Amino acid sequence: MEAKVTSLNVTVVDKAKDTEVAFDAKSDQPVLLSIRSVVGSPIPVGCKGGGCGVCKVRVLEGNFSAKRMSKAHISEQDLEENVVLACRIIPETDLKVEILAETPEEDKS
Amino acid sequence: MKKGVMRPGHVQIRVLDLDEAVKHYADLMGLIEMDRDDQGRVYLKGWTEVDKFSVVLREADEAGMDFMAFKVADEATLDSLAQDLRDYGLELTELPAGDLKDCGRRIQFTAPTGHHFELFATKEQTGKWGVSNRNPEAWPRDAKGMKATRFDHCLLYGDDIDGVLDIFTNVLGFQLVEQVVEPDGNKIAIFMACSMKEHDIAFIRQPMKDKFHHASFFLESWEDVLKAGDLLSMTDTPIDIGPTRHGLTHGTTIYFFDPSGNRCEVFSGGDYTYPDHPVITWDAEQLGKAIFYHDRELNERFLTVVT
Repeated sequence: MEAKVTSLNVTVVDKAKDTEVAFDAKSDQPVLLSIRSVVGSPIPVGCKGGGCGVCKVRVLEGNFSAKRMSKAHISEQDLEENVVLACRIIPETDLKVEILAETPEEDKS
Repeated sequence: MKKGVMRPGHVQIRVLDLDEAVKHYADLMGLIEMDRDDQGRVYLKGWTEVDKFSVVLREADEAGMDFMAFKVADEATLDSLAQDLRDYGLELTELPAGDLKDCGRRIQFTAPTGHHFELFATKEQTGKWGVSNRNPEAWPRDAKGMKATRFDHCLLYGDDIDGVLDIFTNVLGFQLVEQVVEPDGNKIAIFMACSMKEHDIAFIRQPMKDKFHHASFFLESWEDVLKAGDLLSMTDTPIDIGPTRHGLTHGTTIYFFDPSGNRCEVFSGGDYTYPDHPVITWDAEQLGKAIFYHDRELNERFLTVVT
């Protein structure tokens, strides 16, 4: 039997803008894909495929599973510190995430 | 001056999940899966291409482009171009025949922007897919999705595009077809061709090394581009921008992302190039119109999202 899709709450902390924005996320898809509009998205939207690193966040609270993310942007250590790409993490509980803007110099490739 | 480089031969793209990628490139874009090798790489091509493959997908832990190759006229040309690259001061790596399945030896070098390019002269020719060389029908009736006809070009982001321009025009015989320049003459984009097309390879200057902006595939008509957009919506595939028209090249286009975040383009039309054509120049202040002719402004993703 397929697991029931539930609606979870994701809170986005943007320290640069000093804001906290919440949105509903489905439990069966990556967090970023629950945001349908790019304009005004609380998380920067890039390739939506784990490749470009634009939507990098740190998960502060909550559980998630993750699809593969480009090592050019997410190292093993990042993963241990819950630093992930919002387009590749599927929420299992409500989440609280903090936006981490990546500058080109931080690219690990 | 032409030096025997004929056309883009292949591009090897890194993907995070091979099965998802094959669905994207074959089922959605309509490339034909031609083969796989013992490293797990998948070989594909557009149905009009005569060589066996033009796209190689390799599963890896990061997205992006491993290398792009150009096919040269023959093995003697390959040797002379290799010598010219050596004389220029580049270090070459020679990969033996068979390293890519059914492809001859390849000469690889690293461009000043950090991108890896290679030249080869020989690849198995399986002919156009689904149509014969004798009394050919117009098109194969069982091509899928967007029915991409051929791998056409790549656009790459890197820092030293002046260095790249020198090698491609002076050593490899490419023609600078279009450029975007700042008021002081500094080039911020270069579109180069080894053929009659408007570009076979293009670069945009950004302070980064070895970044992949997109691989592009040719469609027959503007309506095909529109229907490609329809298919992207039907499959909920992330669209970057389009359908629209470029100022540069004047091709009609749509950009979208593969499941690993690599950008793809399908396009139709566009200008043509003869060796006596003057360089087309766009002023940097017109960059928005040069890239997206209708919006006349860049979306931020176009400049910042690369793999």
